[in-house]
Order: sequence, then structure tokens, then C-alpha cells
Amino acid sequence: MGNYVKYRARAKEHFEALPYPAWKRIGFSDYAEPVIGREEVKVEIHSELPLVGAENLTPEQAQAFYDRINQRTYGVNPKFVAFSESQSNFSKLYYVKRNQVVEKPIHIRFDLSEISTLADEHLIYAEKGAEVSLILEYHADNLVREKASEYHIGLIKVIAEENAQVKVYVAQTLPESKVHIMNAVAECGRDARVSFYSVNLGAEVVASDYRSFLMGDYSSSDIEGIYLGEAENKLDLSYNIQHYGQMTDSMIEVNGALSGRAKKVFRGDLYFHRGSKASTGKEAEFVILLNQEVKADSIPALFCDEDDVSGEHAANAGTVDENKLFYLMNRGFSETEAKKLIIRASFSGVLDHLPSEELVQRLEKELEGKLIHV
Amino acid sequence: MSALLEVKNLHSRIDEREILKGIDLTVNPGEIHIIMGPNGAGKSTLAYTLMGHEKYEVTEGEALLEGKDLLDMKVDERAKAGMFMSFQTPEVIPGITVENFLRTAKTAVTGEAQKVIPFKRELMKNMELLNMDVKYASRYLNEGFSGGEKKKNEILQMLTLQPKVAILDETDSGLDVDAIKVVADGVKAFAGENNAIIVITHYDKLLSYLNPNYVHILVDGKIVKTGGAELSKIINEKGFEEFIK
Repeated sequence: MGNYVKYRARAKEHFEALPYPAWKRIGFSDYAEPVIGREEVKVEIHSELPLVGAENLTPEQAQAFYDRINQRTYGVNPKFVAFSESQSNFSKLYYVKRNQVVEKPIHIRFDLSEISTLADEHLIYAEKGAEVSLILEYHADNLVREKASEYHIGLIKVIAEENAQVKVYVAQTLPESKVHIMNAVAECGRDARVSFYSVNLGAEVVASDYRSFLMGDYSSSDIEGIYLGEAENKLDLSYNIQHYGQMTDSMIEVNGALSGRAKKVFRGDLYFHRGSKASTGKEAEFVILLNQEVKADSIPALFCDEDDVSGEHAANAGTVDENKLFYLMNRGFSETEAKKLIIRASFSGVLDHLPSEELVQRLEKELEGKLIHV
Repeated sequence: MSALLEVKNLHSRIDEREILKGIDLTVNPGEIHIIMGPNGAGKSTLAYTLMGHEKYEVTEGEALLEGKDLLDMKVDERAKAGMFMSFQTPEVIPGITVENFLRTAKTAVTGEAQKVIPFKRELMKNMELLNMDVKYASRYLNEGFSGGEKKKNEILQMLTLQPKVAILDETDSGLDVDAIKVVADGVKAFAGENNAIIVITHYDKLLSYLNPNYVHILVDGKIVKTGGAELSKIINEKGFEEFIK
């Protein structure tokens, strides 16, 4: 059992001591508190790697995941990190041994149709030279009736040792009644590479924080996201890469579209700490505003405690490109169809990276069903 | 014979600046028209105005396709009615392959679902005619295409969609001699007694392969001279000077 039980008890104390956060940025407050019910977690798991629950962590792994990583600041809010750590109703350890290459992506597909709260915890431990990809998919396609403020609170922790390569894909197509909270953190050793891809096509409220710590020299991380906000959706999206090692490299790119009265805040932080010599990073955020009622805030920031680094950022918010629209309508596409194609095109950077054709098809179908009023 | 496209006293402006200052043009089925003119004369504006780009505001005049008022139609309605424009700089649309794009477009303009296999067979045949690698069919629309491949892809779209009036806006610009010949072959394969082609160009390169019925000289928003293929030879030798007042 390692020290898992001890850590879980400690997380519970931590959870109880912390207040629930209020999201002033996106105007989300007075929400119901998440409660873990007795419902069974419905999940499909496809994995060639044997998976075990977090109670099987070795003492060293438990220390790394619950002590070492937790000394860092990460997550949407510590309250929700502690919630998943103390009360998770699904936890898995993905232990990829030295030089082991997991050929097929591990695919975990959660059905949240019948569960009020899913708190899932994914602990990826990739030893030196290991390679693994994990797809996490969240849907509620079989929802019978919508109940307000049901939660998904996810927690992903990645430890990538020297030269390890880890890719994590998170795709959610949750209904309007759900709140999707995702906390993801990665620690990269020398030459390691961690990539996060996030797809948000649903949920009433999305609050996510993806964060990589580039500790080893030559380590790298990229975080790419796509999102669609509709109706009264609220999205608080944070992407953050912390450079510590020398010659480290990072990239953040987010593409989104907003319609209805959706609100979105994007925060992208690249932090070059002292000693991260000759490191490079870039970030970009592009959003298509489908009407004038939407609200899109973009806060890209570069922090430098080191002179010898290069950081770039770009952001663009605008209506649908009128030349593209004209071109497509010229070929007989209606305005709505043309706009959908343009949005799909802006999402292709992430959709094309997804290693599951089935998943891409499901997401395209989801997109097709949305955006009917654009 | 009734005209396919009839443009009468067409005026259009962009950002308060009048570009077209009264265009009259009658295009009958089976005809190829060439529109030549110096930079800034309004050649592309004519194409964009006829296709309905919202930046171009029509202030006077009319444009009829088979007697129907084009100017009342939205851009996609014009396409469905039979208008087509080959773009100077075609847009890149990742996420949709050339084949899917064209099949969806053909369904949209004809109003009939396209069966996958016959459609593909037709597409392959047209790609062969245009000397295009068939691999382009499964690539994203114009993504990573060279200038020449983008232009060929425009002609491929024309061949697939079979419009009534095709406007080729500077399709020959930036192409080498071989590519121009291939494009011309595509245009010739398309030309028929039920459709018409309007070629907008700077040069007479494409003209030497086509057999136009009319050459129009467009200067400062007006057609100042209409003649046969011989006009293009004059332009080639002497430029537009004598037509500029």
C-alpha cells in the first residue's frame, strides 16, 4: 500500500481546511459543492499496460506524487486537487518501466451519464526512456435527465524521467449540466518530453489548469488546446510552463470559438527561472468570436528571471475570416456550413494529433451537432 | 439566343471608393470572354462583385444569370445558381480533404447526394487531365500545396462543380508554361455549348491556348474596348497605354 493511505488521509484534512474558490473572472460562484455518491463509475478501459489502483504505489512513487510534486503550485485550485486526492472514485497508476514503450495509446472512456460526481486521479510514472500515451475521454451520452451542477474533477500527475516521452489527451463532450474541472501537472527530467492536448466541446463550466515543470536540461513540453463555448458556458483555461533546466523548450497553442453568451478567460504563462539558460518558449491563442455577446479575455504572460532565453507570444480574437467564408460559400456551402468548416479547420491542429480515429469521429459528430445557430 | 449572363451598367464600390463605373457585358452560352486591363482597373472587383463578396457594394446597375437577378442572391445561392470563381489566392482549409470538400460542395450546388464511387471515379479522371497527383485528393484543401497545385485545384473544382459561368481570376499568374498549358487543357475540357467562361488576366499567355470569342479591355472601371483575339496581340505589343486616356 506504500504510504497511499496516509497521503489520502492527509489530503482529506487539507481539503477540509480549504475554502471553496469563487471564480470572479468568469462570474461563477454560489455553486453546489461536489459530493461523491455511491454510484458506480462507468468506464471503458483499453490498455495493453497492466493498470493498478493508486493503493499499489511504491513508497518512492507515493512520495514523488504526493510530496515532491505537491510542493509546487499547480491546479485550478488546491481545494479541487485535494478533493481528487482524498476522495477519488477512480484512480489508476500508469507505471511504465525503464525503456518500456507502450505501443498503443491507453484509452479510458468515462460515461458520466449516471454519476453525480466523478473524481478521477491518473498517476503516470514513466521511467528513463519509457514512452506512453493516455487518452482520457469524458462524455454523458446516455444521460436520462440533467441535474444541475454535477461534477467531473480530474487530476493528472505525470513524472517523466530522463528521456521519457508522455502524451496525454483529454477530451470532454459533457452536457450543459456538468462542471468540468481538470488539474494536470507534469515534471520533466533531462531530455524528457510531455505533451498535453485538451479538447473542450461541452460542460456548463470548464476550469482547467495544465502545467509542466521543465526540471531537466533539454526537456520540453507542449500544451495544445481547442475549445468551443456556447450558450451561457463559462471557461477558465490556464496553461502554464515553468522552465528550470537549460536548453528547455515549450509551446502553448490554443484555438477556440465562442458563440451565444459564452465567456472565456485564457491565461498562458511561460516562466523562465534563473538558470534556464538558452531556453525557448512560445505561446499563441486564437479565438473566433461568432457574435458580439460573447466575452473573451486573453492574458498571455512571459516571466523571465534569466536573460539568455527567448519567449514569444501571439494572440488574436476576431470574427470568422471573411475571405475564407467567401471562398467556401462560393463553392455552395451555406454560411453556417462554411463557418463550421472554418472552426473545424482551426481545430485541426489538435484533432489531427489524436491517436484514435474513433475519437476524432466522435468529436467531429459532436461539433456537427453543435454550432447550429452560428 | 438568350444571354447566359447579362451585366448592365454595373457600379460597385469598396470603402466608399467607386471601382466599377458602369460595366456592360453580355455573355452567351458557349462563349469564352477575356477581360484584360492594367493593375487597379477593377478586373478582380468585377469578379468579386458578381460573386457577391460583402465588401463590394453595388450602387447601380444589374447582373442577371439566365434572367434571374444575381445581386439579390447570397454568395452560396449564386454558386447554386451556376456561378463559379477560380481564386487568385485560394484559401487553405485544413481539416477537410479535397475529395470530401468537393463531394460536399457538389452535393450543395446540385442538391443531390453524390455517391462515393462514381464521384471518386470522376474526380480521378479530372485529376489525371490536370496532371495532378491523385494523392492530393486525400490531402487537406490547399494545405501545403504549391502555387501551381492550388491553381490546378481551382480548375479541378470547376470541372467537378460544372458551373454555368466560370470566372477565372488571374488563374495563369505565377504559373510556368507547362502548368499554363495544363490549366488551358482543363478550361478547354470544361468549355461547352451550355456554359461560358470569363478569363481575367494580365497577359496573353493563357490566351494563346484558348480561342476566345471576345477580348475586353477594362480601364478605370469601364470596358473601353471590345474586340477579338487580335486585341490581345496589340496589348502584348504596345501595352494598355493607348486605352488609358
